[in-house]
Amino acid sequence: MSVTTANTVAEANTLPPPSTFWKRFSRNPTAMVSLGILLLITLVAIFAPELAPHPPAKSSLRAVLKPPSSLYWLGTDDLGRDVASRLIYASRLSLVASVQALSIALVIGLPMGLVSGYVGGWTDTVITRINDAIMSFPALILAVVIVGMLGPSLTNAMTAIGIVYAPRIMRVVRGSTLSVREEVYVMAARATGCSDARIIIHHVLPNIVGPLLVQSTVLLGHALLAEAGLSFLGLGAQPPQASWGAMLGTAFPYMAQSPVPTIAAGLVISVTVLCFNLLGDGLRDSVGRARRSGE
Amino acid sequence: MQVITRTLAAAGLFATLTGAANAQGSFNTNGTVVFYDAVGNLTLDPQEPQNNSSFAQGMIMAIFDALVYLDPKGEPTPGLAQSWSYNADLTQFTMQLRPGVTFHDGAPFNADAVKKNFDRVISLGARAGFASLETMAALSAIEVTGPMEIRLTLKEPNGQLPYLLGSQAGMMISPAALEGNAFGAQLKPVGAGPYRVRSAESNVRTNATRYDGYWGGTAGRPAALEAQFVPDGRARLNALRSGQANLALIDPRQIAEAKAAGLEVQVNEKNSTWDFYLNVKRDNISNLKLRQAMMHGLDRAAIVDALGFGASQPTAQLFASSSPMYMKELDAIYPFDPAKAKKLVAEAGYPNGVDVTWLLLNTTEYRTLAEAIQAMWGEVGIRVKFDTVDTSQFVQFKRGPRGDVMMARWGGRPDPLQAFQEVAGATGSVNPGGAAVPEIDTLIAKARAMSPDNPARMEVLRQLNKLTTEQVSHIGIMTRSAVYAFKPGCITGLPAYLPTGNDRLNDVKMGASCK
Amino acid sequence: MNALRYLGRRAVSTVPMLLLVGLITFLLIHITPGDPASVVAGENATEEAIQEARRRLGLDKPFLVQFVTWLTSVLSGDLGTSFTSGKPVTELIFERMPITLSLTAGATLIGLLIAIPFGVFAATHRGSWADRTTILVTSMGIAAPEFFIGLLLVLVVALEWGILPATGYTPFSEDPIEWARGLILPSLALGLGIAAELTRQVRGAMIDVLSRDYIQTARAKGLSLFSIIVKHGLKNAAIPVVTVLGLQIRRLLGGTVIVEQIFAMNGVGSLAVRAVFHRDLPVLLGVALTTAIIVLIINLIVDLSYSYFDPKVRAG
Repeated sequence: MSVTTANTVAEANTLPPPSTFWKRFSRNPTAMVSLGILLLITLVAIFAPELAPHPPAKSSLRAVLKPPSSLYWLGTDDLGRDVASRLIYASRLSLVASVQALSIALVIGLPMGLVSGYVGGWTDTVITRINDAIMSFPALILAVVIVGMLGPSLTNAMTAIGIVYAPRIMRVVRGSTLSVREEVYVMAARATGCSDARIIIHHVLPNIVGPLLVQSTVLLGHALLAEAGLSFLGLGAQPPQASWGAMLGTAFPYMAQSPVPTIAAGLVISVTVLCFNLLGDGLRDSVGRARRSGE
Repeated sequence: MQVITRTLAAAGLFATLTGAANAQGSFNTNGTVVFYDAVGNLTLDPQEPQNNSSFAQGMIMAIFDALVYLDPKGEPTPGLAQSWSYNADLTQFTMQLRPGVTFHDGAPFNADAVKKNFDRVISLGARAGFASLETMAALSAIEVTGPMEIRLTLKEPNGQLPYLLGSQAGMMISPAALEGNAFGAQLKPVGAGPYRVRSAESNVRTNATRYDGYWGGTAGRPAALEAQFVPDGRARLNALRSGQANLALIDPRQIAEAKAAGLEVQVNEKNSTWDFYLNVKRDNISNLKLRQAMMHGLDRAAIVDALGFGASQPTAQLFASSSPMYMKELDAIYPFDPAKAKKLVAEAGYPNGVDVTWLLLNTTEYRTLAEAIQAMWGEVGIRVKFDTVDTSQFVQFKRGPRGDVMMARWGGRPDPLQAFQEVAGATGSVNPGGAAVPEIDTLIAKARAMSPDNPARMEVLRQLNKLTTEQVSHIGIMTRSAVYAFKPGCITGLPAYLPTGNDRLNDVKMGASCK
Repeated sequence: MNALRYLGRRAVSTVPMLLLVGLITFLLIHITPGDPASVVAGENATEEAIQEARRRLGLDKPFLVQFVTWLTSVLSGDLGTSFTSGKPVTELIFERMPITLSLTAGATLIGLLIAIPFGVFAATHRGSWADRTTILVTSMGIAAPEFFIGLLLVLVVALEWGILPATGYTPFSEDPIEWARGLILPSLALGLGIAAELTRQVRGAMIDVLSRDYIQTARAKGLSLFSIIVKHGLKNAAIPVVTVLGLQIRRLLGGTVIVEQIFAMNGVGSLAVRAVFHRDLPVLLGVALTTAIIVLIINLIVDLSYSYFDPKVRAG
């Protein structure tokens, strides 16, 4: 690789300076709107107690399955609880759960990707193969199986989802690590005896931040979707906890009599995941041109 | 010998009415009754512990006839045993068997077959379901005293045999199928009932065809009977509407929807309740004050209003108000009083509240009820955590043992004593922790040694009811009915069968116009 | 001859993957808390009975021996016995496979039926509002959970309009028309999810192909766009599309878990979910292994199809 190309590659691979990044990003209307919506949802989650009109767990057994009214904006569920308030509070659980799952995926995938990409050779081959093998299992089925091993609960569901999505993180990290490893200045650094740790911290990590950020954002959306799915099946959040997915699951059997809670929960999930996806797309465009996504 | 005198007149009258309506019309004897049920059968072995649940017995009763036939009111009448008698001190029980009966595989029914059946159950030991265990545990000897006569010698005086032999312990299986003491999935379900098994998929579907060699005649029965386990209430109702099923058990909350769809809804009031089984060995549950707090924290009226849909009444007992065993004054011992409940929780030694694990069976009906009660108890400092399992896993409550409490549908038994035995007695099938106080077992033993004709027996049972309620051996919530839906005029012959949670499918008939 | 060698090589390289998948599945048994032996042993089980169950399940032998024993039985088609029903897991899965496969095939069909026309249209009308709408709609489609779409379909089409059934499954052998009718809504629910991704792929691949030199030449020669698309465009665009299809099989098989629940279908997905509430490990592991193997096989077929779509691959 000639020096010039190496430099270009290096330039394109590192995160652009914040001003460039922001300039690009702010010119992307869909990404901005998505970010805005997500921030709004986060604020709602944080200020849930102030925003919710009723206590979410308060059940008025004599007001079950009521349609939307001025008292109950989205109506009541099968136990007479205010759907709007529950949705607001559930945002906390859903968002936190997604972050939990992402964290686990990062904790597993980041080191594996680093090691695999940096060390190379047989280690790389073995780890990559294991990674591929895990990815052969359909995500939701593997998650269901892991939850089956550990028992249904939100924590276990998040652990399962984190494990299932770890390979994607691993791939992104590995890819970026590999591209850095081949660069002249890195090879020079190694030749002159710089410790691996220094190289990783100073050169590799900055390089992977960009793609990792993109992938993490997208994965937050996937994790939210997966949590919703597992809770819908009754394998995630257990009563009295309610995530959006759990609300969807409990509202569904009563859909014929009272469709609003089902539609509301589903919409909220869809919109949030969509925002994560669009935000991820926007980040991808803003981070750089010579992008190689982990997927 | 009545234990349930006042049959729910409604049920009886209803059955008569529908019966009368069809007496003129003929029945469709070529069709198949496809019944979508909320329970399945893991296996078709009457001794399978899961089949001890009186909700799983619909198909079992259609396939296997028992020695005693309990009529819809719960009275023992002749079944495969034509007559029986006790000796004077209730330590010997002799039965004369019905001649001319053959099993589905052609084998003859006789005293040897009966003995082989009993021997198998004994050989199963702890693996068999509770009712059978109890029955066999009472026997000290089984003698074939004639080709169609058999004598049972009892360890102690026990007046319950006619009831016990009317359920699983008395269900007769063909000797050929019993080879090698086959059990559970290994057992070929060959009985002597009106239907014979054609195919069975564990916990999914059982298909049985009419047995034309049935000793009682075929009397207008359809050509086949199929029961499918469909846990989802929507799916059951939808299948009915689309014609995939012609009979379905629906959730009470679906009554309005079913009627609006033009279906006929039949509500069979049963001697059945929603009830909490308790493990009194657990640290928290062993505390009487906590159990009392649970009683006081339960707003039964609100639950009935919101979740009963007209098919339930509040009760703290194991019996519906129509049962002669029901004692109104007992429901007033621990009325709804959240303030008192909170105080009791603190007095029980839990000033900051207490955690309780609840083994929760996984259907919509259960979950809705459970969440409502979880919220109620939460208000008085009882924090419920759910351990959710499939409905077929209710045996885990005792087997594990798993969970501090389990809410379930109590299906009712022909003999009220059985209710106390199974729920509150030391060896009860749903009682992992033993009796709340030893006196319960004393009273149970006392009643068991009495003949059901003895008027003093009822008095002992009333004492038992009072004691178990005061000591909170269990927590009753509300009564329940079996609600069926079908296309108008399509199904008859499904009266409320009080001895079990399931209704009997044996005499279900299809209307001539039904497909 | 080359094709056969390629086939052979690819097939052989799948074997280590299969082994790894098997190992991972087997390892999952060992992360389970609790004792499977006592679950199987039964009510009032004595300590001896539990030990006997442990011996029967092979849990008392060293790890490697267990793995090899397990692997041998798997290869002979024995995936163990269900804890709850006592039936062989293989049989349970086999019985329900037709339902899940019907659903997956239906979803793929719908996905393609939507993706190809829309993708081609968007590619040939690049930059137009139709194209931009397609991009937006597909983005949303990727985001919406398939179960939400499924729920909406049930609500509107089945419950409100009543034209298609809301639940259940009729076997093909029993009534082909009912079978098809019953599959429309669930396939839509599942298929719309991948349709979005597929449309994007078709669009992208077609754009790419249409810009190639030989296409420009053909157009210059006066061939109609339609015949160009059909003759050259689709075949060359097939590779990335088929690749994505292969990747989407995973998503489809995962999605069946939820769609089966919504439509109350007794497929492999609902078998797995019920197994969780039964704590039935052999069933769970059997389902995981089976679906992973299906994914691997499909990917193998996808790889092999490249040699059909792109002769350059065959020569390499």
